[in-house]
Amino acid sequence: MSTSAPRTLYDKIFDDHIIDRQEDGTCLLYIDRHLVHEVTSPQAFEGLRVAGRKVHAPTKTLAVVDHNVPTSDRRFGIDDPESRTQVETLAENARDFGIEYFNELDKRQGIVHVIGPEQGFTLPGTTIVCGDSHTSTHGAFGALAHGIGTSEVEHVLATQTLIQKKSKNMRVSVDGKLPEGVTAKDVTLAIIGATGTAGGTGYVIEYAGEVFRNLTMEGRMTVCNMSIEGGARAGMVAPDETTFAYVKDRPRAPKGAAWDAALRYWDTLRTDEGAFFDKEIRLDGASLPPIVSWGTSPEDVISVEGLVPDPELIEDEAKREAKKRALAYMGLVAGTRITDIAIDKVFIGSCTNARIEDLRAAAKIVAGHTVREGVSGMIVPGSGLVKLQAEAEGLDAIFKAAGFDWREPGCSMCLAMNADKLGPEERCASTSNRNFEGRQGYKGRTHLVSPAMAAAAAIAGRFVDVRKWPHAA
Amino acid sequence: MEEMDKFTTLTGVAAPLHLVNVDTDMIIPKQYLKTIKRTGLGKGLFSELRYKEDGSDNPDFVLNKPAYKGAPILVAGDNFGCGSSREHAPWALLDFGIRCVISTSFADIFYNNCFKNGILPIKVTPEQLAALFDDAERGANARLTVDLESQTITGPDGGSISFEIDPFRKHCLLNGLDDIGLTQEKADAIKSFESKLAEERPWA
Repeated sequence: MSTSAPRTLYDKIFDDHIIDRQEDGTCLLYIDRHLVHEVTSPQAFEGLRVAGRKVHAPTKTLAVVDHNVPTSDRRFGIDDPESRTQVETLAENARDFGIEYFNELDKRQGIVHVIGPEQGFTLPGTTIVCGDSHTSTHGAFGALAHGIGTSEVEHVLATQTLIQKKSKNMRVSVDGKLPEGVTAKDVTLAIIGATGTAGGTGYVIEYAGEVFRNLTMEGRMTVCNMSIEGGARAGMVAPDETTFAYVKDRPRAPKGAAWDAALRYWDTLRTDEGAFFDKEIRLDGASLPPIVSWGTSPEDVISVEGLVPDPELIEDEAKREAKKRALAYMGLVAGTRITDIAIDKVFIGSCTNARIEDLRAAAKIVAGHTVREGVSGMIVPGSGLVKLQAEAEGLDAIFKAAGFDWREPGCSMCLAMNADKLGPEERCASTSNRNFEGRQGYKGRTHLVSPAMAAAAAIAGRFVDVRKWPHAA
Repeated sequence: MEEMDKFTTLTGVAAPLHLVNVDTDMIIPKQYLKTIKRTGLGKGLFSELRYKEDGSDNPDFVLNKPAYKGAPILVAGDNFGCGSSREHAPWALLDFGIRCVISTSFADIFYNNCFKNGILPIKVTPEQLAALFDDAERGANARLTVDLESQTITGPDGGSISFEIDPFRKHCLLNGLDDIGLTQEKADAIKSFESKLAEERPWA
């Protein structure tokens, strides 16, 4: 598309994928990469079969099981008959339609948003979709990536395209240097706290500024991952040397001359000077504390040094009632110090925080300590490769010595579709992304935190400020 | 290919759900996602609100109240359908008999998913929502009529409000059109895009 007006990163990637544009702005967009998992795909494949349709581009599609697999030893099969059926159905669909598939015993198996980047399937400048809202994760590479429903999964399988209208542009700038102990997770929770859970609705976010430039790829993935919790269609970070170094030599990354050509294109993927953003948000990174969620929406966040807020102070009635309901559900009283909240369980895992750096950060806190009596801690690596890497570094030994449960990779207690779940009224420090009612188990109580904060909570039995943790570097 | 249900007009009782940020986990909890079918999900709709721990109906939940049994319209607070992309949420609504959801705003993916299943999500202003909540509170005495063609909701007292909707989505919903079929009519354009892609960005 030839236009001289300055464009955002999102504008550029969107423009480069338009096949057809109708008068009302509805576009047919080309999809470069399609990730498929067992929960949101069976009905899509069934639809193809009924209509006698094929998968349009099997090599641009990658399938993996993650949501429904047990995180215990899987060599002897899956006990739950419904879970087993869903897993077997994906295996069968992948075989019948000629799609590459990582099964539950493959060391490359893991959470769909961990394995895409790991394999080099996720590349800058591409359009990436998956029947999963956390597809926004892949935006960390400067890709346009978002979740879709099952009907759209079927549409992409059949045509490698999606019918889309362009979203608005929003820029979230965070400058300054993050204090020690404050992580990408705290940044993303602080952003959602500032914008609200619907603040991003109708927008694609570009994360800009010093903080994101200095984050590792894994940190950027954590931030982009939670764009959806702020309601945004997608979140993205412009690709740079950090991105290219991460992608280079991955199994499915371009090699040789193709790599050089790709680099030349990727280097153009940044927002032009003077490009227009419909909405701008600014935060100061240097003043951010570790964050803990206290309610049942990811916007319900507060500093670890803070108190559970008082809903009676909220003017808007619907919002006040919602927050009162949240406190009742969470079993909390306004004014309680966050560091006085005792926990029962700790979950370190999910597509938000189950990569090797997350496990290293947790292990650093845990080393030399033991999990508090009465607390149970579970560590679920994001993929088989993350698990192997952690074991090669001896992290598993640190966790096990401290009393943590070291599990097989999968989504696990982030959404509790498998056997890993909270009991009623159990309180959990979780590195996952949603604290909705019932998300981690019926009547379970979730507090969203960073891996370091979750690890420290496991040791102390309550929330503690990791900035004051004795072993923190 | 199953034809999508058309949506033209709908008249019925509207159930008021006085909650904001209703997420798709609340609409259809995870234990119902293990199915490989689109059908039969109505039993799981709002199950953690609808049923008591022993499995019996919770009489306090709006959809269990006699006045709202079979209500085809749901009126709910801001940011309806946030969270997970699960299309099981609209499938559950549809299977339960709800064909129209009215709120001040919807999460993006849920909003899309509704249109793929013949459900009409309508965005209204906060003032309109308050008036619709009032109507809905009157239960069986207050039926709403939603007319997609004229883009209006008519209340029990004859007053009507108009709503905005994307023309392409409206067209598809009115005619029950299958998106995939429409897109496949553009097969040549897709093919030529792919040739260009193979030349310009072969790594992709």
